[in-house]
Amino acid sequence: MSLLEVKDLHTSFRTDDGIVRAVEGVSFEVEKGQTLGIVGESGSGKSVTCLTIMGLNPSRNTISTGEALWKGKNLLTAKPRELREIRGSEISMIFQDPMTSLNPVHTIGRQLIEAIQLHRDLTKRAAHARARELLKAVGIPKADARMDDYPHQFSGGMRQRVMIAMALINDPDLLIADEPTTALDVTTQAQILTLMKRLQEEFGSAVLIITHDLGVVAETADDVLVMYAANVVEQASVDDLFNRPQHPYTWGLMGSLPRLEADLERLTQIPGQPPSLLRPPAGCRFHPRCPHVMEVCKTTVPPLAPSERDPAHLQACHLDQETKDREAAKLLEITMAGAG
Amino acid sequence: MNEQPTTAVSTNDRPAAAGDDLLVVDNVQKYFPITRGIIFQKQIGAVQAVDGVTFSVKQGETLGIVGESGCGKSTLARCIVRLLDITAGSIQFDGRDISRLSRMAMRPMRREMTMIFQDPYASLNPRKRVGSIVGEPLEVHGLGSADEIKRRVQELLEVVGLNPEHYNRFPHEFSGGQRQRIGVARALAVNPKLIVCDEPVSALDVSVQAQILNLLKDLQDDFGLTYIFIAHDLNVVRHISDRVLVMYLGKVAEVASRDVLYKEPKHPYTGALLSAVPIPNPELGRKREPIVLEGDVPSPVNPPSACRFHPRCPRFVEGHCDVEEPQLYSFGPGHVAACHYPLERWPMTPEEMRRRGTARTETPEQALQT
Repeated sequence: MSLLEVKDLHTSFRTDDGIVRAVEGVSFEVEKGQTLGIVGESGSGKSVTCLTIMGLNPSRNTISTGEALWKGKNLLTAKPRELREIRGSEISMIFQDPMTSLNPVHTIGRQLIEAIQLHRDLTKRAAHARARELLKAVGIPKADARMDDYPHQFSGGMRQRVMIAMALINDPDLLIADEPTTALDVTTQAQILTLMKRLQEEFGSAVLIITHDLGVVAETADDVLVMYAANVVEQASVDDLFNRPQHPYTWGLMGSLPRLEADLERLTQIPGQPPSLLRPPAGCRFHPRCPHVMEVCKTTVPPLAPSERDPAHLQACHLDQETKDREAAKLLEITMAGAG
Repeated sequence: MNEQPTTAVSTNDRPAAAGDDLLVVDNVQKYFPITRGIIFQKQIGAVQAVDGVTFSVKQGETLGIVGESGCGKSTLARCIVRLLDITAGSIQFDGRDISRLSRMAMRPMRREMTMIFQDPYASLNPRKRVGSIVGEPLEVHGLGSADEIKRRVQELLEVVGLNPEHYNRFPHEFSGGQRQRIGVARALAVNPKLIVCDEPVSALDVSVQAQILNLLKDLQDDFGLTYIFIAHDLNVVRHISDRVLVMYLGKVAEVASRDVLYKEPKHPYTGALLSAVPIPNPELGRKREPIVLEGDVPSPVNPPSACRFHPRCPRFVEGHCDVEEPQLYSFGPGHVAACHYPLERWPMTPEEMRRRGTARTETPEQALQT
């Protein structure tokens, strides 16, 4: 049994303008010790997927269907009390913005200790020792003294380390990281990614990393899910995805990246804008922006199905395999030009 | 410039030829005072945001400026277009020193240099229609009648890839990428020579980012524009720039042409930056070992002595780097770097990086002769 198994997850929000279907039919599994990456642009539903799993959507206007089985137990139908017990101990989350996800009026130490004592029956002294140990583990210098500091006394990278310490403090089995390095500089990003990798090896947790940065995915994930307009359009192992991408949207994403290792005179751009989820296009969601659009794309939604070449590589596109192979090879040639 | 519109007549009688320096920034300093007290505000220190930056930009080229947040790149941009007054140094634009010009004297110069801002959500007035946002610079400079301005604005909207019929819409009716196109149209309205782009694509999604980068390149080809392009994303800077300047804590760490900088960086900071960029290619990514810098960028209020990078530098030599400030040594035509122990080759592993070679000891003058 997988650690986390998400089956046909749907989430919609009721808004003043109508119903927004933010996630439509997402399925994936996360195994112990594995890293799954979810890539997509803003509004593709990647964050909502994770918030739904964690039960963090506002219940007032949200409808979620499907299953999110955590060690066999469906999180979507779990009682708030049960969820609270799982959140922060078995599954924990790192949010994108370290500036706003810490409480500004409490010291770091107090916030860390609170996270421990909510889930474990430890004395204050033991909890304090544990918090200090974790701050040291995430590489905060003078951890003893910094326990009494407030969040504003930390830099962005340091705050993100505190967030990671807080997420790891109860040895979670799954760590959900929602754009953990987006707000950070490259050198700090390298520090945080290296740290996450090291801690994953040390603590053996599974990681679900959400990002819009294909570079971050390539460096951290084992398997990747590509999302576009609330749907999964492609799912494969990281090597397969980057070497044999099968979906026009993935090609577009890869082509539109300026790269250090290749010389591109001009970026291949995806024309247009991501669609509004209030009124998504019929058929394949990507068809209005797709350079390979056919008549069938405008009416029929392509199912997420195994690719002809590799049953483990899922893709949702009507194009024939020959065209896909050709396009993938073309893309690889362009992007690998000049790569040593 | 065959698309030169009738409304904007160039007031400049000696246009810079291609290859000439359009902008010369000489030893520019910008300190923000830190004061204490309410009535008698005594200065107790200064944020040394930009400290002795020198560079030049040629007509028609793109100079990329990279650095981490807090390194002073945005302050520098604001100094160049005189949104901030500089503390010391000089800025020459098109052969004229603009660093001490009065507000009134500066006004005609504002037609020559415009700016594109980072956040397309915050830089457009939500209460104004697109037509008046893009047309405002033309009105301010009195370039044409209302009819002419309207025609020019519609032409500009078309140039940046928007529907000219959207003239009467409000900014909220546009997506992030389209808003940034409006920002580009506004910057382009007065036919400037220089456009300072301060992180123009960092708030945008990758697919939209590529659209804006391509647009900026096309506009440069069509109108012979000169760009100063500020970004923290090294991939983006590499894509758009001819030359790149790396800043660290208010100072220039390295300047070189794009290809040289990315293939043979000399400053350890440039090397660390390059190695920290995640590569969207799992095979290449696994083979390489990033040079992870310790700690954070220090505060510009109280910067480290001598070389400002020394507390984080893997090649730090005690008694040298923290005592003597490195000059900008020359490493070939147009390539300078401020380091006593420059990198011998690239790429390097963190291990090789720590094994430093011999120090550069000659004076900058000697270096330039060789």
